[in-house]
Amino acid sequence: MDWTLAIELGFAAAGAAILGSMLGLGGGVFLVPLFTLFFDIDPKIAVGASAVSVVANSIVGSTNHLRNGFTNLRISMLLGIVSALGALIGASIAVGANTSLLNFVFGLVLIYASASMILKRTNVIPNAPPNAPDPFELRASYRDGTSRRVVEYVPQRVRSGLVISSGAGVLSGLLGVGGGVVQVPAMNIFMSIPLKAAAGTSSFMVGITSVATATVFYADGKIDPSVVVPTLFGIYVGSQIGSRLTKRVDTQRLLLIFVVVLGYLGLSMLLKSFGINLTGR
Amino acid sequence: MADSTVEQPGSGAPDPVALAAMATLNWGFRVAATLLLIGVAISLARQDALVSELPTLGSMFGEVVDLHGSGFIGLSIFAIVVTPVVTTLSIGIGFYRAGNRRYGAMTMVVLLILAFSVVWSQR
Repeated sequence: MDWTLAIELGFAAAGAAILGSMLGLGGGVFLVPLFTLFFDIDPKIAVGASAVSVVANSIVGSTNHLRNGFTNLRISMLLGIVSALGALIGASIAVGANTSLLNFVFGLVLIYASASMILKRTNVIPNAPPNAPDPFELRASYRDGTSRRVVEYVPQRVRSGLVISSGAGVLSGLLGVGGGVVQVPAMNIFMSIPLKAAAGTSSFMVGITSVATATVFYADGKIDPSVVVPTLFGIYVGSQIGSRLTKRVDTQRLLLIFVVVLGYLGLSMLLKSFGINLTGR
Repeated sequence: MADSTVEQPGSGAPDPVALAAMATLNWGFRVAATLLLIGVAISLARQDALVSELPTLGSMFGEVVDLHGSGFIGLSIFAIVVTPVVTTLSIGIGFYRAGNRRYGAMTMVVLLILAFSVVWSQR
């Protein structure tokens, strides 16, 4: 691959990472459709590149979350068992699947993500009281910098969390996305884990899950360095820009634009699975 | 079960398991980033195009010895993928050291799954 195309891919990855980090979705959700629709890259190569970039992003992001005490490593390990197994299964299905099927599933996920952002829950999920039963010994605490108080929580409905995590793992393996888009709300809503702890725990978990995905794609020859390298640079730069922009820009104002972008990409992927190309590629 | 890995509310005491994980992640990132930058610099200097196929681990080392950028790039991708595996190992050791056998064992299961996938990819 020539360097001009690599630079173009790098810019596209940076754009995907800026959007992803501002919305808390991760870059993979935008990356695979951008590469597939606008650069005509094989969806499986795009998924492989996305999986490696998710691991890299997790390495960088988890360090910050661990430093802040948001990551509950015991939940990461407990849910990591089923999500990593799910990713192995999902990735094994993906490498053998028809690319039209992958485009179709990705299209559905994007449209779901778009719809869920419109219907985004804004109510605060109450934490379980510190004296709540804790059979899995998952009780933890962190110091909230905003409220300047210690938040103590006891995760609930762990079995539901295990089921959802296995599904998130399969999705991650199929599409190369981190799965945080499913994990974070599930931990928050079903397991009563505070949002910051859910995001911190998920940030580490998606790295583990995506390792399983990346290795399956590597075994199938779908890790293409000429796509992975610009993606890594773009995702790193884009997520740094995105996290700074998030502090300055009112993301709620941009939500409508992003919903439209997600919806458009989702529809394009769905139509591409039927051989109709909205983007002209 | 005694659990010394939990940060006591309000104590601000650092969690040794988290500290070990952070250190491993930091080193993994540094190694991978350094290898990637060297690989890209060599490829640009030699005016080599980026290769489209990741070599096996064995041939990556050969390419590094021959100062081919693709070898360094391959190793950097490998370092990225292996970092969470090594971090999981350090977390497992941390749990065992803290006397938390239950989560030490669970971490080892995660490690086994990841190790299986990495070994399987090299077959």
